[in-house]
Amino acid sequence: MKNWRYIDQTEMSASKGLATDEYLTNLHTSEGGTDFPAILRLYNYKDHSVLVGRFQDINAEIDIEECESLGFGFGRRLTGGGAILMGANQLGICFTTNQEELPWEHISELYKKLSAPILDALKELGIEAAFRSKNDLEVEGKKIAGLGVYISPSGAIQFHASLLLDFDIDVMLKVLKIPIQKFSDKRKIASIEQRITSINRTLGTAVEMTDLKSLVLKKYAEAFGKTFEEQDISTNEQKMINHIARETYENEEWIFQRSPQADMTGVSLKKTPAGLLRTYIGLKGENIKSVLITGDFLDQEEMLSEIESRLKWSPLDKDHITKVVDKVVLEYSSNKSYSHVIENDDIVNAIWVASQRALAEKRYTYNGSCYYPKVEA
Amino acid sequence: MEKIDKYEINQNYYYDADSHFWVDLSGSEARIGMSPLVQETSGSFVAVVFDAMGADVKRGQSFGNIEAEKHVGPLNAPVSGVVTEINEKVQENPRLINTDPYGEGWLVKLKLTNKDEEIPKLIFGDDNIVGWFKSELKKFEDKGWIAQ
Repeated sequence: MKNWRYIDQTEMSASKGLATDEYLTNLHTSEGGTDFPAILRLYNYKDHSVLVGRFQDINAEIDIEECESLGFGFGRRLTGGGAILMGANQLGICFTTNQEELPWEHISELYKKLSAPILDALKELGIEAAFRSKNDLEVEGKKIAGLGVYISPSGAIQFHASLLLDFDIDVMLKVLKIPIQKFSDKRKIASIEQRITSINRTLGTAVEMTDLKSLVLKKYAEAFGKTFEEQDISTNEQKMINHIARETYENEEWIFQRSPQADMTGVSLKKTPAGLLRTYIGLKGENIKSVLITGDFLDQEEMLSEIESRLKWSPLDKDHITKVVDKVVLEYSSNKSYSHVIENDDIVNAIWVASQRALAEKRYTYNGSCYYPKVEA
Repeated sequence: MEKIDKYEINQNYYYDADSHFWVDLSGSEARIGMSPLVQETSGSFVAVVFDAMGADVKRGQSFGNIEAEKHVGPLNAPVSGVVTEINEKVQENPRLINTDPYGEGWLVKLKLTNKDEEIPKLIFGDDNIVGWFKSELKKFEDKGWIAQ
Protein backbone atom coordinates (compact mmCIF):
# COMPACT_ATOMS: atom_id res chain seq x y z
CA MET A 1 0.00 0.00 0.00
CA LYS A 2 1.53 3.29 -1.09
CA ASN A 3 1.78 6.27 1.23
CA TRP A 4 -0.08 9.48 0.51
CA ARG A 5 1.79 12.77 0.17
CA TYR A 6 1.52 15.69 2.54
CA ILE A 7 2.54 19.26 1.71
CA ASP A 8 2.61 22.17 4.18
CA GLN A 9 2.89 25.70 2.78
CA THR A 10 2.47 29.23 4.06
CA GLU A 11 2.45 32.75 2.63
CA MET A 12 1.18 31.72 -0.80
CA SER A 13 0.38 34.41 -3.35
CA ALA A 14 -3.05 34.11 -5.00
CA SER A 15 -1.67 32.96 -8.35
CA LYS A 16 0.88 30.48 -6.96
CA GLY A 17 -1.60 29.07 -4.47
CA LEU A 18 -4.15 28.38 -7.20
CA ALA A 19 -1.52 27.12 -9.66
CA THR A 20 -0.24 24.65 -7.06
CA ASP A 21 -3.77 23.26 -6.60
CA GLU A 22 -4.04 22.76 -10.37
CA TYR A 23 -0.57 21.24 -10.70
CA LEU A 24 -1.23 18.71 -7.95
CA THR A 25 -4.63 17.81 -9.42
CA ASN A 26 -3.09 17.09 -12.80
CA LEU A 27 -0.54 14.73 -11.25
CA HIS A 28 -3.37 12.22 -10.87
CA THR A 29 -4.11 11.94 -14.58
CA SER A 30 -2.66 9.21 -16.77
CA GLU A 31 -0.14 11.71 -18.17
CA GLY A 32 0.58 13.34 -14.81
CA GLY A 33 2.66 10.76 -13.04
CA THR A 34 3.17 10.68 -9.28
CA ASP A 35 4.27 8.01 -6.85
CA PHE A 36 1.54 9.18 -4.49
CA PRO A 37 -2.05 8.06 -5.16
CA ALA A 38 -3.37 11.03 -3.15
CA ILE A 39 -1.99 14.34 -1.92
CA LEU A 40 -3.12 16.49 1.00
CA ARG A 41 -1.92 20.08 0.94
CA LEU A 42 -2.55 22.29 3.96
CA TYR A 43 -1.63 25.88 3.30
CA ASN A 44 -2.20 29.57 3.92
CA TYR A 45 -2.35 32.48 1.56
CA LYS A 46 -0.61 35.77 2.24
CA ASP A 47 -2.71 38.37 4.05
CA HIS A 48 -4.85 38.72 2.01
CA SER A 49 -5.97 37.02 -1.17
CA VAL A 50 -9.49 37.27 -2.54
CA LEU A 51 -10.63 34.38 -4.73
CA VAL A 52 -13.78 34.11 -6.81
CA GLY A 53 -15.52 30.94 -8.01
CA ARG A 54 -14.88 29.45 -11.45
CA PHE A 55 -17.71 31.19 -13.28
CA GLN A 56 -18.28 34.31 -11.18
CA ASP A 57 -18.00 37.83 -12.52
CA ILE A 58 -15.07 39.13 -10.47
CA ASN A 59 -16.16 42.76 -10.77
CA ALA A 60 -19.56 41.87 -9.31
CA GLU A 61 -18.00 40.08 -6.35
CA ILE A 62 -14.93 42.00 -5.22
CA ASP A 63 -13.69 45.57 -5.14
CA ILE A 64 -10.64 45.33 -7.39
CA GLU A 65 -9.51 48.91 -6.76
CA GLU A 66 -9.64 48.38 -3.02
CA CYS A 67 -7.71 45.10 -3.32
CA GLU A 68 -5.03 46.81 -5.37
CA SER A 69 -4.76 49.78 -3.04
CA LEU A 70 -4.43 47.43 -0.06
CA GLY A 71 -1.91 45.26 -1.89
CA PHE A 72 -4.17 42.18 -1.78
CA GLY A 73 -3.93 39.46 -4.38
CA PHE A 74 -7.01 38.27 -6.24
CA GLY A 75 -7.78 35.44 -8.58
CA ARG A 76 -10.18 32.90 -10.03
CA ARG A 77 -10.39 29.36 -8.71
CA LEU A 78 -11.07 26.13 -10.58
CA THR A 79 -13.78 25.25 -8.07
CA GLY A 80 -17.23 26.82 -8.10
CA GLY A 81 -19.13 28.73 -5.44
CA GLY A 82 -18.73 32.24 -4.08
CA ALA A 83 -15.94 34.71 -3.35
CA ILE A 84 -13.69 33.98 -0.36
CA LEU A 85 -11.13 35.96 1.58
CA MET A 86 -8.02 33.95 2.43
CA GLY A 87 -4.98 34.76 4.55
CA ALA A 88 -2.84 33.69 7.49
CA ASN A 89 -5.87 32.73 9.62
CA GLN A 90 -7.78 30.77 7.02
CA LEU A 91 -6.63 27.21 6.37
CA GLY A 92 -6.67 26.05 2.76
CA ILE A 93 -7.23 22.29 2.50
CA CYS A 94 -6.58 20.85 -0.93
CA PHE A 95 -6.95 17.11 -1.41
CA THR A 96 -6.22 15.63 -4.82
CA THR A 97 -6.56 12.08 -6.11
CA ASN A 98 -8.40 10.10 -8.77
CA GLN A 99 -11.17 7.55 -9.24
CA GLU A 100 -8.84 4.57 -8.85
CA GLU A 101 -7.73 5.61 -5.37
CA LEU A 102 -11.04 7.04 -4.23
CA PRO A 103 -13.89 5.42 -6.17
CA TRP A 104 -17.08 7.46 -6.33
CA GLU A 105 -20.31 7.42 -8.27
CA HIS A 106 -21.97 10.63 -7.15
CA ILE A 107 -20.40 13.93 -6.21
CA SER A 108 -22.17 13.97 -2.83
CA GLU A 109 -20.09 10.92 -1.80
CA LEU A 110 -16.90 12.92 -2.31
CA TYR A 111 -18.16 15.76 -0.14
CA LYS A 112 -19.17 13.36 2.59
CA LYS A 113 -15.93 11.34 2.61
CA LEU A 114 -13.56 14.26 2.23
CA SER A 115 -15.17 16.65 4.69
CA ALA A 116 -15.50 13.99 7.43
CA PRO A 117 -11.87 14.42 8.64
CA ILE A 118 -12.44 18.19 8.96
CA LEU A 119 -15.55 17.58 11.08
CA ASP A 120 -13.51 15.12 13.18
CA ALA A 121 -10.77 17.70 13.69
CA LEU A 122 -13.32 20.30 14.78
CA LYS A 123 -14.88 17.77 17.14
CA GLU A 124 -11.53 17.08 18.77
CA LEU A 125 -11.19 20.81 19.33
CA GLY A 126 -14.58 20.76 21.02
CA ILE A 127 -16.66 22.12 18.14
CA GLU A 128 -19.74 20.25 16.94
CA ALA A 129 -19.94 21.12 13.26
CA ALA A 130 -22.10 19.61 10.52
CA PHE A 131 -22.38 19.50 6.75
CA ARG A 132 -24.88 22.13 5.57
CA SER A 133 -27.21 21.57 2.62
CA LYS A 134 -25.01 23.02 -0.10
CA ASN A 135 -21.26 23.15 0.31
CA ASP A 136 -20.60 24.53 3.76
CA LEU A 137 -19.68 23.24 7.17
CA GLU A 138 -21.62 25.00 9.89
CA VAL A 139 -21.66 25.44 13.64
CA GLU A 140 -25.09 26.31 15.05
CA GLY A 141 -26.22 27.77 11.76
CA LYS A 142 -23.04 29.75 11.13
CA LYS A 143 -20.60 28.94 8.35
CA ILE A 144 -17.15 27.82 9.50
CA ALA A 145 -15.83 26.33 6.24
CA GLY A 146 -16.65 26.46 2.54
CA LEU A 147 -16.20 23.39 0.34
CA GLY A 148 -15.74 22.85 -3.38
CA VAL A 149 -15.03 20.01 -5.79
CA TYR A 150 -13.48 20.21 -9.23
CA ILE A 151 -13.29 17.20 -11.54
CA SER A 152 -10.73 17.52 -14.32
CA PRO A 153 -11.56 16.38 -17.88
CA SER A 154 -9.50 13.23 -17.29
CA GLY A 155 -11.22 12.44 -14.01
CA ALA A 156 -8.74 13.75 -11.42
CA ILE A 157 -10.41 15.04 -8.27
CA GLN A 158 -9.68 18.27 -6.43
CA PHE A 159 -11.50 18.73 -3.14
CA HIS A 160 -10.97 22.12 -1.56
CA ALA A 161 -11.99 23.57 1.78
CA SER A 162 -11.36 26.94 3.36
CA LEU A 163 -11.54 26.51 7.12
CA LEU A 164 -11.80 29.64 9.24
CA LEU A 165 -9.43 29.68 12.18
CA ASP A 166 -10.33 33.32 12.46
CA PHE A 167 -11.48 36.15 10.19
CA ASP A 168 -11.32 39.91 9.98
CA ILE A 169 -14.73 41.47 9.42
CA ASP A 170 -13.36 44.93 8.56
CA VAL A 171 -11.22 43.49 5.77
CA MET A 172 -14.15 41.44 4.45
CA LEU A 173 -16.32 44.53 4.30
CA LYS A 174 -13.64 46.45 2.43
CA VAL A 175 -13.03 44.02 -0.40
CA LEU A 176 -16.08 41.76 -0.77
CA LYS A 177 -19.14 43.29 -2.39
CA ILE A 178 -21.68 41.95 0.05
CA PRO A 179 -25.19 43.40 -0.10
CA ILE A 180 -25.15 45.25 3.20
CA GLN A 181 -22.99 48.22 2.28
CA LYS A 182 -25.74 50.68 3.21
CA PHE A 183 -26.00 49.33 6.76
CA SER A 184 -24.38 51.15 9.65
CA ASP A 185 -20.99 49.70 10.64
CA LYS A 186 -22.54 48.16 13.74
CA ARG A 187 -25.28 46.42 11.76
CA LYS A 188 -22.83 45.24 9.12
CA ILE A 189 -20.67 43.58 11.75
CA ALA A 190 -23.71 42.07 13.48
CA SER A 191 -25.02 40.74 10.18
CA ILE A 192 -21.74 38.97 9.41
CA GLU A 193 -21.32 37.65 12.95
CA GLN A 194 -24.78 36.11 12.72
CA ARG A 195 -23.80 34.13 9.64
CA ILE A 196 -20.11 33.30 9.88
CA THR A 197 -17.99 31.96 12.70
CA SER A 198 -14.48 30.63 13.18
CA ILE A 199 -12.65 28.16 15.38
CA ASN A 200 -11.26 30.88 17.63
CA ARG A 201 -14.60 32.68 17.94
CA THR A 202 -16.42 29.47 18.77
CA LEU A 203 -13.88 28.33 21.35
CA GLY A 204 -13.21 31.79 22.76
CA THR A 205 -9.50 31.02 22.69
CA ALA A 206 -6.73 31.14 20.09
CA VAL A 207 -5.66 27.91 18.40
CA GLU A 208 -2.29 27.95 16.62
CA MET A 209 -2.41 27.39 12.87
CA THR A 210 0.40 24.82 13.10
CA ASP A 211 -1.61 22.84 15.67
CA LEU A 212 -4.70 22.99 13.47
CA LYS A 213 -2.72 21.67 10.50
CA SER A 214 -1.32 18.78 12.56
CA LEU A 215 -4.80 17.89 13.73
CA VAL A 216 -6.34 17.98 10.25
CA LEU A 217 -3.48 15.87 8.88
CA LYS A 218 -3.96 13.32 11.67
CA LYS A 219 -7.70 13.10 11.00
CA TYR A 220 -7.21 12.52 7.25
CA ALA A 221 -4.71 9.75 8.05
CA GLU A 222 -7.14 8.13 10.51
CA ALA A 223 -10.20 8.47 8.28
CA PHE A 224 -8.54 6.76 5.31
CA GLY A 225 -6.18 4.46 7.22
CA LYS A 226 -3.18 5.91 5.38
CA THR A 227 0.31 7.07 6.23
CA PHE A 228 1.20 10.51 4.95
CA GLU A 229 4.75 11.21 3.83
CA GLU A 230 5.74 14.89 3.90
CA GLN A 231 7.37 15.92 0.66
CA ASP A 232 7.79 19.60 -0.20
CA ILE A 233 7.33 21.02 -3.67
CA SER A 234 10.60 20.37 -5.52
CA THR A 235 12.50 22.98 -7.52
CA ASN A 236 11.42 21.30 -10.72
CA GLU A 237 7.80 21.20 -9.62
CA GLN A 238 7.95 24.87 -8.65
CA LYS A 239 9.07 25.73 -12.20
CA MET A 240 5.99 23.98 -13.59
CA ILE A 241 3.75 25.69 -11.03
CA ASN A 242 5.22 29.08 -11.93
CA HIS A 243 4.46 28.33 -15.57
CA ILE A 244 0.79 27.50 -14.76
CA ALA A 245 0.58 30.68 -12.65
CA ARG A 246 1.86 32.84 -15.52
CA GLU A 247 -0.27 31.16 -18.18
CA THR A 248 -3.53 31.08 -16.24
CA TYR A 249 -3.77 32.63 -12.80
CA GLU A 250 -1.85 35.84 -13.59
CA ASN A 251 -3.49 36.07 -17.00
CA GLU A 252 -6.11 38.82 -17.06
CA GLU A 253 -8.19 36.93 -19.60
CA TRP A 254 -8.68 34.16 -17.02
CA ILE A 255 -9.13 36.48 -14.05
CA PHE A 256 -11.58 38.89 -15.68
CA GLN A 257 -13.49 36.46 -17.89
CA ARG A 258 -17.21 37.16 -18.03
CA SER A 259 -19.71 34.38 -17.83
CA PRO A 260 -22.67 34.40 -20.22
CA GLN A 261 -25.05 34.47 -17.26
CA ALA A 262 -25.79 37.95 -15.96
CA ASP A 263 -25.22 38.86 -12.30
CA MET A 264 -28.10 40.87 -10.79
CA THR A 265 -28.98 42.18 -7.36
CA GLY A 266 -32.26 43.35 -5.87
CA VAL A 267 -33.67 44.44 -2.55
CA SER A 268 -37.13 44.52 -1.00
CA LEU A 269 -38.57 46.10 2.13
CA LYS A 270 -41.66 44.58 3.66
CA LYS A 271 -43.51 45.69 6.72
CA THR A 272 -44.85 42.70 8.61
CA PRO A 273 -46.66 42.41 11.97
CA ALA A 274 -43.37 41.10 13.37
CA GLY A 275 -41.36 44.06 12.10
CA LEU A 276 -39.61 45.35 8.99
CA LEU A 277 -38.20 42.65 6.73
CA ARG A 278 -35.32 43.76 4.51
CA THR A 279 -34.26 41.20 1.91
CA TYR A 280 -31.34 41.29 -0.49
CA ILE A 281 -30.87 38.84 -3.33
CA GLY A 282 -28.07 38.12 -5.77
CA LEU A 283 -28.97 36.27 -8.97
CA LYS A 284 -26.88 34.63 -11.64
CA GLY A 285 -29.14 34.11 -14.62
CA GLU A 286 -32.14 32.22 -13.25
CA ASN A 287 -30.27 30.93 -10.20
CA ILE A 288 -30.16 32.38 -6.72
CA LYS A 289 -26.56 33.20 -5.89
CA SER A 290 -27.21 34.53 -2.40
CA VAL A 291 -30.00 35.76 -0.16
CA LEU A 292 -29.76 37.92 2.92
CA ILE A 293 -32.84 38.37 5.10
CA THR A 294 -32.52 40.93 7.87
CA GLY A 295 -34.83 42.64 10.31
CA ASP A 296 -35.58 43.03 13.97
CA PHE A 297 -35.97 39.33 14.54
CA LEU A 298 -32.93 38.53 16.60
CA ASP A 299 -34.42 35.33 17.99
CA GLN A 300 -35.08 34.04 14.49
CA GLU A 301 -31.70 34.81 12.92
CA GLU A 302 -30.62 31.17 12.91
CA MET A 303 -33.78 30.13 11.10
CA LEU A 304 -33.42 32.93 8.54
CA SER A 305 -29.76 32.03 8.07
CA GLU A 306 -30.77 28.43 7.36
CA ILE A 307 -33.26 29.61 4.73
CA GLU A 308 -30.51 31.74 3.16
CA SER A 309 -28.14 28.78 3.10
CA ARG A 310 -30.63 26.36 1.53
CA LEU A 311 -31.60 28.84 -1.16
CA LYS A 312 -28.01 29.51 -2.16
CA TRP A 313 -27.30 28.18 -5.68
CA SER A 314 -30.86 27.00 -6.16
CA PRO A 315 -33.34 27.82 -8.93
CA LEU A 316 -35.24 31.09 -8.93
CA ASP A 317 -38.61 29.42 -8.74
CA LYS A 318 -41.39 30.58 -6.42
CA ASP A 319 -42.60 27.04 -5.69
CA HIS A 320 -39.09 25.99 -4.77
CA ILE A 321 -38.62 29.03 -2.52
CA THR A 322 -41.97 28.31 -0.84
CA LYS A 323 -41.02 24.66 -0.22
CA VAL A 324 -37.68 25.65 1.33
CA VAL A 325 -39.22 28.32 3.56
CA ASP A 326 -42.04 26.02 4.71
CA LYS A 327 -39.62 23.21 5.49
CA VAL A 328 -37.15 25.34 7.46
CA VAL A 329 -39.87 27.18 9.39
CA LEU A 330 -41.46 23.85 10.32
CA GLU A 331 -38.12 22.44 11.49
CA TYR A 332 -37.36 25.46 13.62
CA SER A 333 -40.82 26.16 14.99
CA SER A 334 -41.09 22.63 16.36
CA ASN A 335 -38.06 23.33 18.57
CA LYS A 336 -38.56 26.91 19.60
CA SER A 337 -41.24 29.48 20.18
CA TYR A 338 -40.65 32.99 18.94
CA SER A 339 -41.90 36.26 20.36
CA HIS A 340 -43.08 37.63 17.00
CA VAL A 341 -43.49 35.02 14.31
CA ILE A 342 -42.85 36.06 10.71
CA GLU A 343 -45.39 34.45 8.40
CA ASN A 344 -44.00 32.06 5.78
CA ASP A 345 -45.78 33.99 3.02
CA ASP A 346 -44.12 37.22 4.12
CA ILE A 347 -40.67 35.64 3.82
CA VAL A 348 -41.45 34.08 0.43
CA ASN A 349 -42.92 37.30 -0.94
CA ALA A 350 -40.02 39.38 0.33
CA ILE A 351 -37.55 37.09 -1.46
CA TRP A 352 -39.67 36.99 -4.59
CA VAL A 353 -40.11 40.76 -4.80
CA ALA A 354 -36.35 41.28 -4.36
CA SER A 355 -35.70 38.80 -7.16
CA GLN A 356 -38.15 40.45 -9.53
CA ARG A 357 -36.55 43.83 -8.83
CA ALA A 358 -33.14 42.31 -9.58
CA LEU A 359 -34.43 41.04 -12.92
CA ALA A 360 -36.11 44.37 -13.70
CA GLU A 361 -32.98 46.31 -12.81
CA LYS A 362 -30.98 44.23 -15.24
CA ARG A 363 -33.52 44.95 -17.92
CA TYR A 364 -33.09 48.68 -17.40
CA THR A 365 -29.37 48.67 -16.60
CA TYR A 366 -27.52 51.53 -18.22
CA ASN A 367 -24.90 49.93 -20.39
CA GLY A 368 -23.16 53.10 -21.40
CA SER A 369 -23.24 55.22 -24.51
CA CYS A 370 -20.58 56.41 -26.89
CA TYR A 371 -20.26 59.59 -24.77
CA TYR A 372 -20.54 58.27 -21.25
CA PRO A 373 -19.39 54.69 -20.78
CA LYS A 374 -20.79 52.63 -17.95
CA VAL A 375 -18.59 52.84 -14.87
CA GLU A 376 -18.47 49.71 -12.73
CA ALA A 377 -19.70 50.43 -9.23
CA MET B 1 -42.53 9.65 -23.83
CA GLU B 2 -42.91 7.33 -20.86
CA LYS B 3 -43.46 8.60 -17.35
CA ILE B 4 -41.41 6.77 -14.72
CA ASP B 5 -42.05 8.09 -11.25
CA LYS B 6 -42.06 11.87 -11.88
CA TYR B 7 -39.65 11.70 -14.84
CA GLU B 8 -40.67 11.88 -18.50
CA ILE B 9 -38.35 9.66 -20.54
CA ASN B 10 -37.97 10.02 -24.27
CA GLN B 11 -37.72 6.47 -25.65
CA ASN B 12 -36.74 7.56 -29.15
CA TYR B 13 -33.26 8.55 -28.07
CA TYR B 14 -30.11 6.58 -27.26
CA TYR B 15 -28.66 6.78 -23.73
CA ASP B 16 -25.14 6.49 -22.35
CA ALA B 17 -25.39 4.38 -19.19
CA ASP B 18 -22.50 6.05 -17.34
CA SER B 19 -22.94 9.73 -18.12
CA HIS B 20 -26.75 9.72 -18.47
CA PHE B 21 -26.50 11.76 -21.66
CA TRP B 22 -29.13 11.19 -24.31
CA VAL B 23 -28.23 11.09 -28.01
CA ASP B 24 -30.82 12.13 -30.60
CA LEU B 25 -29.50 10.45 -33.73
CA SER B 26 -30.33 11.82 -37.16
CA GLY B 27 -28.25 10.24 -39.94
CA SER B 28 -24.62 11.00 -39.20
CA GLU B 29 -25.49 13.86 -36.85
CA ALA B 30 -26.57 13.80 -33.21
CA ARG B 31 -27.96 16.19 -30.68
CA ILE B 32 -26.75 15.66 -27.10
CA GLY B 33 -28.46 16.41 -23.80
CA MET B 34 -28.83 15.21 -20.21
CA SER B 35 -31.33 12.72 -18.82
CA PRO B 36 -33.97 14.14 -16.45
CA LEU B 37 -32.54 12.07 -13.59
CA VAL B 38 -28.96 13.25 -13.70
CA GLN B 39 -29.95 16.87 -14.11
CA GLU B 40 -32.00 16.62 -10.93
CA THR B 41 -29.35 14.91 -8.84
CA SER B 42 -26.72 17.45 -9.91
CA GLY B 43 -28.83 20.31 -8.58
CA SER B 44 -29.41 23.61 -10.31
CA PHE B 45 -26.99 24.33 -13.15
CA VAL B 46 -25.25 27.64 -12.68
CA ALA B 47 -22.87 27.86 -15.63
CA VAL B 48 -22.06 26.02 -18.85
CA VAL B 49 -19.17 26.65 -21.21
CA PHE B 50 -18.74 24.63 -24.41
CA ASP B 51 -15.64 23.99 -26.46
CA ALA B 52 -15.50 26.02 -29.66
CA MET B 53 -17.43 25.06 -32.77
CA GLY B 54 -15.41 22.64 -34.86
CA ALA B 55 -13.83 20.95 -31.83
CA ASP B 56 -13.13 17.28 -32.52
CA VAL B 57 -14.35 15.40 -29.46
CA LYS B 58 -13.72 11.73 -28.63
CA ARG B 59 -16.19 9.55 -26.71
CA GLY B 60 -15.54 9.99 -22.99
CA GLN B 61 -13.62 13.23 -23.51
CA SER B 62 -14.73 16.67 -22.48
CA PHE B 63 -16.67 19.00 -24.78
CA GLY B 64 -17.16 21.68 -22.14
CA ASN B 65 -17.41 22.49 -18.46
CA ILE B 66 -20.36 22.84 -16.18
CA GLU B 67 -21.01 24.22 -12.72
CA ALA B 68 -23.86 22.76 -10.76
CA GLU B 69 -24.58 23.68 -7.17
CA LYS B 70 -22.25 20.95 -5.99
CA HIS B 71 -19.22 20.98 -8.28
CA VAL B 72 -17.38 22.12 -11.40
CA GLY B 73 -16.67 19.34 -13.85
CA PRO B 74 -16.34 18.33 -17.47
CA LEU B 75 -19.10 17.39 -19.89
CA ASN B 76 -17.84 14.10 -21.32
CA ALA B 77 -19.16 13.18 -24.76
CA PRO B 78 -21.21 9.97 -25.06
CA VAL B 79 -20.11 9.66 -28.73
CA SER B 80 -17.22 10.99 -30.80
CA GLY B 81 -17.81 13.83 -33.22
CA VAL B 82 -17.10 17.33 -34.40
CA VAL B 83 -19.10 20.08 -32.69
CA THR B 84 -21.32 21.63 -35.38
CA GLU B 85 -23.69 23.63 -33.18
CA ILE B 86 -23.80 24.73 -29.56
CA ASN B 87 -26.95 25.74 -27.74
CA GLU B 88 -26.32 29.39 -26.96
CA LYS B 89 -29.60 29.62 -25.03
CA VAL B 90 -28.26 27.10 -22.55
CA GLN B 91 -25.02 29.04 -22.17
CA GLU B 92 -27.07 32.12 -21.32
CA ASN B 93 -29.50 30.23 -19.10
CA PRO B 94 -28.15 26.88 -17.84
CA ARG B 95 -31.37 26.34 -15.85
CA LEU B 96 -32.92 25.14 -19.13
CA ILE B 97 -31.06 21.85 -18.59
CA ASN B 98 -33.06 21.41 -15.39
CA THR B 99 -36.39 22.72 -16.61
CA ASP B 100 -36.51 21.35 -20.17
CA PRO B 101 -33.83 18.64 -20.56
CA TYR B 102 -35.21 17.22 -23.82
CA GLY B 103 -36.30 20.53 -25.30
CA GLU B 104 -34.54 23.86 -24.96
CA GLY B 105 -32.03 22.31 -22.58
CA TRP B 106 -30.11 20.35 -25.24
CA LEU B 107 -26.35 20.99 -25.24
CA VAL B 108 -24.54 20.52 -28.56
CA LYS B 109 -24.86 18.94 -31.99
CA LEU B 110 -22.10 16.67 -33.25
CA LYS B 111 -21.16 15.36 -36.69
CA LEU B 112 -20.36 11.78 -35.69
CA THR B 113 -16.92 10.39 -36.46
CA ASN B 114 -17.20 6.85 -35.07
CA LYS B 115 -20.89 6.12 -35.32
CA ASP B 116 -20.82 2.42 -36.33
CA GLU B 117 -18.65 1.43 -33.40
CA GLU B 118 -20.12 3.67 -30.71
CA ILE B 119 -23.88 3.80 -31.25
CA PRO B 120 -24.28 0.06 -30.45
CA LYS B 121 -22.69 0.77 -27.04
CA LEU B 122 -25.61 3.01 -26.09
CA ILE B 123 -28.93 1.90 -24.61
CA PHE B 124 -31.77 1.88 -27.14
CA GLY B 125 -35.29 0.50 -27.46
CA ASP B 126 -38.36 0.99 -25.26
CA ASP B 127 -37.84 -1.94 -22.90
CA ASN B 128 -34.10 -1.43 -22.55
CA ILE B 129 -34.45 2.27 -21.77
CA VAL B 130 -37.29 1.80 -19.29
CA GLY B 131 -35.48 -1.09 -17.54
CA TRP B 132 -32.22 0.84 -17.33
CA PHE B 133 -33.90 4.01 -16.09
CA LYS B 134 -35.91 2.21 -13.42
CA SER B 135 -32.81 0.49 -12.04
CA GLU B 136 -30.88 3.77 -12.09
CA LEU B 137 -33.72 5.54 -10.31
CA LYS B 138 -33.76 2.87 -7.60
CA LYS B 139 -29.99 3.14 -7.19
CA PHE B 140 -30.16 6.94 -6.94
CA GLU B 141 -32.97 6.74 -4.37
CA ASP B 142 -31.29 4.00 -2.32
CA LYS B 143 -28.07 5.95 -2.13
CA GLY B 144 -29.78 9.25 -1.32
CA TRP B 145 -28.53 11.06 -4.43
CA ILE B 146 -31.82 12.68 -5.38
CA ALA B 147 -31.42 16.43 -4.75
CA GLN B 148 -33.37 17.76 -1.81
